[in-house]
Amino acid sequence: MLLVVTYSQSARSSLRNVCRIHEGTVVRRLGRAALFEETEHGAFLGLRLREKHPDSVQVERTEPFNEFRDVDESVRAAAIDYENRERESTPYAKFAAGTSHPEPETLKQTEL
Amino acid sequence: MRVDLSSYDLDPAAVATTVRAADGPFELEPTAAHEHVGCITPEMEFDRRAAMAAAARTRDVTTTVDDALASAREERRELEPIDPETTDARRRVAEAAAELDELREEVAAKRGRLNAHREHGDGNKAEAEYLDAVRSLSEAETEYAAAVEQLEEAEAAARKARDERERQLQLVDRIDNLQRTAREERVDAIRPAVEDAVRAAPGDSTELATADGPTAAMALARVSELRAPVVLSCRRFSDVETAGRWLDASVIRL
Repeated sequence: MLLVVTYSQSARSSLRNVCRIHEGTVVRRLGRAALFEETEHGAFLGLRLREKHPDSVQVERTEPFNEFRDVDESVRAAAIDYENRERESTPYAKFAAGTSHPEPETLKQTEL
Repeated sequence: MRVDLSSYDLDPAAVATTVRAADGPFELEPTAAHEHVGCITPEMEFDRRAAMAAAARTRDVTTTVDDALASAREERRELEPIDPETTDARRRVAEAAAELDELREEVAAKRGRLNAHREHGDGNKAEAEYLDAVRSLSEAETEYAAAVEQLEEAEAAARKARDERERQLQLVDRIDNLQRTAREERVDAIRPAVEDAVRAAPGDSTELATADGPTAAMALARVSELRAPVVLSCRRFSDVETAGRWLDASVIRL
């Protein structure tokens, strides 16, 4: 999909207009951002917005996230175990210390 | 029903609770207004605005948003987003892709071996292994294509469910707004009758805003349909009959 984020009042109101008129191409509206279908029409709308507001429109192309393909098993297991931790208040760093779960710094420095 | 129980030492709140109980002594369930003004005591205070809205509801006051509210609630009830399971589909794609990569390497390796053997003129075994690997690769390609298709279907269903969830959120906001509007309109519609009742009440109150708690409650009880006796423990009327006539309700006097 195409992610369109706006960074000014005027860009935001243009985006709102586009979303209203072209419902079929808009997958989701998220306040000052929107997801467009990954079609030429989606691209066309994104480009028009960028043309109109060159400095305040960002267009990104998103990819489906498949954790089984993109993410190491240790990270998946850490997420599952941390969400099922016994005490809600335990911070992750403390939770991971002394276990096989990755350290927060490792997580931050390892790209997918 | 007009009963004077003032010779007994009864707790008004306890009597009101009994009156309101679902399995209580009265055939009809007391209306929402009874919660607000069904128990009138000397020191009472209550949310007058909420009581007015409840009073108006008992009088079937209609508002300009009734239809919109009904249809929004109806739509809200009908929306039941079913969230499809996409995890297994993602896992299947990932596994099929890994398998595919592995088999591609295997085919390339076996092709190399086959070529080497052919140069030496003894390629039969290597050829069979190569053909085996090609067959496995072809099967893996089919499996991968099927997995991708299944994931696409699951994601399309997930997207539809998210559309419905978003619609639900919009409807909840819309219903909240409409309820607010309806309440304001109901309060406005019932206000003249309540103000009249305040002025007609025993005492010298002239408006709801400045009337004491019991006076405001009596006025609201008078304009409400309560369907159950008012529990009255303040002495504003000479007797229970007078109170009942003025309140236009059954009364239990304590």
